Amino acid sequence: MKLFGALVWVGLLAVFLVTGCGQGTQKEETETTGSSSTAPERQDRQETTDEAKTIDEETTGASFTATPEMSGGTEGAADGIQGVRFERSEGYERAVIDFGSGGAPSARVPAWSLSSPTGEGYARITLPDVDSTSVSDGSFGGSILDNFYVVRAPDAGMFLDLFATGAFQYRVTELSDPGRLAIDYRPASVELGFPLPAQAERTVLFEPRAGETVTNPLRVSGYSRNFEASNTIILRDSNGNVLLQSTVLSNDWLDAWGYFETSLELPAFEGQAVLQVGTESPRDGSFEGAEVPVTYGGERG
Amino acid sequence: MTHLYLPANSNNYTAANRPYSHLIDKIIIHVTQGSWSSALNWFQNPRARASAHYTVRSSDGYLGQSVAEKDIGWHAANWSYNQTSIGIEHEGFVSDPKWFTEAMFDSSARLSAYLVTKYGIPLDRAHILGHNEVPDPYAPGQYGGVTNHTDPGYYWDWYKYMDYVAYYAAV
Repeated sequence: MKLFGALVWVGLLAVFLVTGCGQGTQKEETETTGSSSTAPERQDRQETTDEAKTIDEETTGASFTATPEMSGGTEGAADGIQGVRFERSEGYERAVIDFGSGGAPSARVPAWSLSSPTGEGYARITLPDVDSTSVSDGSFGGSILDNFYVVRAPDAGMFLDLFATGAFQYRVTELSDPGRLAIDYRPASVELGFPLPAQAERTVLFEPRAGETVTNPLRVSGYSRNFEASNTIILRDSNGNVLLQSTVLSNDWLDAWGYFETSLELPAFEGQAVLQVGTESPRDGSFEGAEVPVTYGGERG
Repeated sequence: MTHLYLPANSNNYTAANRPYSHLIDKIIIHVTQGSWSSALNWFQNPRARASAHYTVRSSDGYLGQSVAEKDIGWHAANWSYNQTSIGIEHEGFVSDPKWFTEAMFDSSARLSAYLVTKYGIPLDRAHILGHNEVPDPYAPGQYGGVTNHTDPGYYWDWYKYMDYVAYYAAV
């Protein structure tokens, strides 16, 4: 009997180890090259009061990746963002986007595409069907998930930028009833290829980046919540003299961050300069915005 | 005058006791670059750091008020002008004339006439002016602030507006 009992325990231990190792491998998988956008969704999930636990159970099939592009969702399934939440789990951090339709929670996730350019510290989720949002930005304060912005897209819909504190891998999971998109970040053991976009209180400057060697024409893009959607662009030389000044309107400022982009002819100069993008304070006219140092070699485009 | 009063957050204006603390001798005309309700909502957000006293709805001219006339709104990007003016936002976009409806012009002119009469504001274009005509406090000779605001823009009919204000002020 003692020998039989020992065999039973050895067998149980073997089953436990195999099962545990299998799950561990699935969760720790680091790279995928496939085009599958989302994890298979459990349709028969059980009700629980611990939502974090429920979501975690639903994502066990997904893999972390550095794939630059992904897409998914159902066209027309939602028209609004009802919230963006942050959750912290062992080994990763999660942003959850809650979707709505006609003001009520939607059943499914609307069409989405994700762009995570190589070397960049953010992922952009574009939502062409989404036209409204109840939240425009926020800080996650995580160790890898830093903050987010909801931006009126230049063509139609909105996009949401999820900024990281450094290089990251991600995975995406669609959840239904109600429709949610969960984006998990975990740190990657590489360095970012580019400085993060400069972020000020009401201006985020995507182009150019700090320290960039710019070319003519100068492309400037980003998003803002500046008064009456008006953004000024000022290029100053190392002595503070204004080399270039222009104004560009963004496509929103009241309901969400408004996107702007423009191309400007650079004057003849060489060397260091500072680019300021923002607006004057509606209170007293003082400048408020983002600024980055840039270098120009004087070459013409 | 019937209107909706949704007070701006106190971060977005300066409390005062005008016209006793500061003379009110100007009306500044703005265009929101967005919707009426969104403007009123944003002025309630402490992060906006901006406000206007009134916002006129495009479809029917309905007024929303965000800042009491005695307080100093933050809309002109020029502290001196803020201290001595009432800011009126108009729902719409400078590049799209369809927002500048007859109802909006009429309602805004009635409001301006009321303010002209109440505070003794001279009824001329030097005292009823566009945001694009406010001097840049840091660049003499430039207007519309550092950002060179262009509102109310090309489609704002100043002749019609001033005629309406004069008419209602006389009434």
